[in-house]
Amino acid sequence: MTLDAARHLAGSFMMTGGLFFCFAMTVGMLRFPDAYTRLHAGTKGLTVGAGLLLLGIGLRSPSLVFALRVVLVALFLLVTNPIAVHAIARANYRSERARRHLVVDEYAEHLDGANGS
Amino acid sequence: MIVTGMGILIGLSGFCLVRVLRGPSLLDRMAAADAIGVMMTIVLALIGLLTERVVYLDIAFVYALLLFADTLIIARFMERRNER
Repeated sequence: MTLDAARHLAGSFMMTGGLFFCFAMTVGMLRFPDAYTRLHAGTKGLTVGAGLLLLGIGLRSPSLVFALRVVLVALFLLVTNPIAVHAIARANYRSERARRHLVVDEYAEHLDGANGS
Repeated sequence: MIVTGMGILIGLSGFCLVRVLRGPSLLDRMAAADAIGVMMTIVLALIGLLTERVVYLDIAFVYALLLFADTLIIARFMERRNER
């Protein structure tokens, strides 16, 4: 009984932390001045926020099957969310419009050295 | 607690929808749409915790899979369109 209560309390604590990270992500998404900083806020805050929220849900889960599925969804999100945001940033870098505001661009020098395009 | 968390997440995704609607570049719109998708995945898991049914987690998993494929396909399409 007391172990159950402790599990419940830890799950609620983690869910509150995850909600705080999601809130910080939204504030960054609305208030940051630049597209890349917005992307930074989105990917980091959302990965940690989703991980903490799903960990809290898994701690409060009613059965073992439920907890295993929550862990599966959490691992999938932890793997795929950075890959998706990286694909967005790369596609944006390849377009010409986003590169005009950059001050330092070492990746372009790397690309020029690689294939000369 | 669970219903409050669902309400907070839906409200936050509403604020992200503002960024989708008036984002200056396509990057902002796609990042905000991805954020909305991840938050809706968590809302599905919270609905599963509320009703104590496992099937909502399967729906959340398929939703996350489709969101990942969706973002990758849109990014590839943008990249190919911007090639000279």
